[in-house]
Amino acid sequence: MNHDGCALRRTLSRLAALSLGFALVGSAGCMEQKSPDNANALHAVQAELVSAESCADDVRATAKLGPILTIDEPVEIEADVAPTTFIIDVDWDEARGYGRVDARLLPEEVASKVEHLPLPVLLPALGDILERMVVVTDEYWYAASVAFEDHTVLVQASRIGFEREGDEGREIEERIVENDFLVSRNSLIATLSFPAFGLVYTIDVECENPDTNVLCTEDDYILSLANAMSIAGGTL
Amino acid sequence: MKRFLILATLAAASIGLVVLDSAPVAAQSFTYKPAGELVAGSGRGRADSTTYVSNMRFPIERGPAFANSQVWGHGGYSGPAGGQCHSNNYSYPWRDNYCETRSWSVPMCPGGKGHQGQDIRPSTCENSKHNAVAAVDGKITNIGSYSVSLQASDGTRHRYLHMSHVAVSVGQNVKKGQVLGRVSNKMGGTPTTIHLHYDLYRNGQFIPTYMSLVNSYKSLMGVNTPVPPPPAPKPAAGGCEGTAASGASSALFKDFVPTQTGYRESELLYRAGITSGCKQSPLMFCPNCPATRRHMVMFLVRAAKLDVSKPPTRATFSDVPVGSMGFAHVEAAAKAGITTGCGNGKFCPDNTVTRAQAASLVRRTMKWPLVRPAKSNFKDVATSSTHYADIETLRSRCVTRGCTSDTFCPNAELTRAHAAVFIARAFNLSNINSCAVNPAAQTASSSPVMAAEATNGGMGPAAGAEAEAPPGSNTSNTSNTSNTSNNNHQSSAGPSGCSAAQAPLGQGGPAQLIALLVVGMLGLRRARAKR
Repeated sequence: MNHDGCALRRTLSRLAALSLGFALVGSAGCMEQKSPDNANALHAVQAELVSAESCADDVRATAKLGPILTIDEPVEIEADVAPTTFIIDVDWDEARGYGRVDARLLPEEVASKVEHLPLPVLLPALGDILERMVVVTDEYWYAASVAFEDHTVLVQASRIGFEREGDEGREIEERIVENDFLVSRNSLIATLSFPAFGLVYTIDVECENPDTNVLCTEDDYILSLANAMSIAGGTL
Repeated sequence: MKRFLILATLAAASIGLVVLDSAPVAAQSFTYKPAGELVAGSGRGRADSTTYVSNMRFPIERGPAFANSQVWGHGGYSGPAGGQCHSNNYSYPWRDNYCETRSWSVPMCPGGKGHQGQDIRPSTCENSKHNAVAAVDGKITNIGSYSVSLQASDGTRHRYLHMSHVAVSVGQNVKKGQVLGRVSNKMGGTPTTIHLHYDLYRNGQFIPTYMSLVNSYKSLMGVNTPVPPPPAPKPAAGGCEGTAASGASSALFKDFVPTQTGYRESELLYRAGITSGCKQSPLMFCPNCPATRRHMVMFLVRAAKLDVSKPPTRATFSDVPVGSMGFAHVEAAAKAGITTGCGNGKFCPDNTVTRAQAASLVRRTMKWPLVRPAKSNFKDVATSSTHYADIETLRSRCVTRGCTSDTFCPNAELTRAHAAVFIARAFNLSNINSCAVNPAAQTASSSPVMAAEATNGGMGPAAGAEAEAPPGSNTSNTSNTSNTSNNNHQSSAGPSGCSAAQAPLGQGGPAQLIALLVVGMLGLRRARAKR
């Protein structure tokens, strides 16, 4: 992983966009005939998103976490029947052995919402996160949202799995199982997933300025959240 | 410096909010490219026609709307000349752009990277004008600087990006169709094109959205072209599917009469986790359906408990790609020397397995030393046959008794019931193969084989020497000529032949005769169709 290299590429990209932007300001009338928007700034961003030379998440993640299992062949699935749901078995023994959130850090409102959920509720055991957290629950899932001035954090997990009838009977919808932490950045929103207790837990970090805020451009923050995940509730 | 850069970028970007062209679209017929067919050169799509979320509402309040690429469309970085408001961007057909080239990890995409959702332009190229609405009933779980996350009761997250004028709050319950905000070009510091990026996420995966959007859009627009009916559920094997059988109501498999050949063995396979049946609710085994090469190998790999937890990242066979059904099992089988494929780097996973091929697969799985008697015990298996020694080895181990007392029917398709028989005996599940402990004793005569039959699930007289007789085979010791005839029927028997042959095998009677007739007729039809 080369953070400096990534940062340099971003800066160069933005400088290119900036210089083009100034050129646009000077010739806005001409530009409108070609494009109604700041096409060059847009192109600079799009170029970075699609470029193989950009700071691809798999390169960064592989360096940090090891190889990621990927599909390297065309995929063709002809069944168009919607998958149906099932309740995923939870490894409660594993959950009982997991670290717990210090009860003093957990606001009562959050604790009461997650206490009796039928799945292990993992939340980052960090005071400034927990005190701002808004937890939304349903019968078999929870989502915890935190809004800061310059970014938001979303933590979620669900016990509902999806399956369909296949050639060999029951086929369970693909879900990550191979990696401890899978970090990706989709539309500049950082997402980290990891399997635990038979379920998949996900953290998203979205920034007000996603292409410059290191909380989103680098992995360190989202990894620190993942590493702080502890049991905050669930019918253990 | 950073602040300066941002301000300058924003200033330049603000020019982009001028609307040039509302690109009105006449009421034209909705058309769309198939799922996975991306703009040429924009990456490899996922040809997945699954409607992952059925009955959802199209996420933009009013049509028309245009699903297509932002980067490879007019005005995009890799697109043709013209601005984002070019009329071509506001016309049909729709294009899938799930898995379009990106540097982002999306494991369900070929190559493991790509665009995780679908981009949709609203009816006109106007910023923050068109409402985005809830696709399903659910709860708002997050509102980011340009995203709104809506989670359905089934745990699927519907995420809307590039939203402005957000009209909901975290924790709010929303109803399908309720306005969430407006479609804009927001993406943090640097604006993007005016579009809704819509993605679906659950259990660690961004799942394909395209067909769910296509169907919901048709519903929104009242498109006359009917949604093509979903194809019949994919048959279990070789185009065959299970049908509940009378007499099996109390059986584990509802299409398998307990007195039928292979019932006990299939139950043993099920209990051992080697098969999960061919259908659930009710559980079925499709006993009379032909086993495919893929399924046979999956059975064997599971029975042998070969490690499938770390499949390779590259496929050995071009027709069993990474991630396809049974990929890990086929790879494990190749690694263990159980299969070398069907030639030309292929495995032919959906081809049915002949009894002779099955014998070789089983023998290799067991790693039994080959038995090669000078004279064949089956008059339809020549000593020069590729599978000769494998078949004789299985015979010596009491895994097979042939399809009649002196024939093996090597070219007949192996049914799933008989696959179960082979595997249960080979692995001696629940000590079902009483001669398994002393195989050498079985090479001399067939009498120990008959003794082993007597213990086979109490199947009675019908389960004698014909225990593996494939449907359509003569169940009595008839002449070789009539066997050959029946075998020909069997090897060309069509898929539906199986569902017709639900009567317990080996019991004869009118039901079986009718079933055999249907098998034969459909087999002939299939053979003609193939020609």
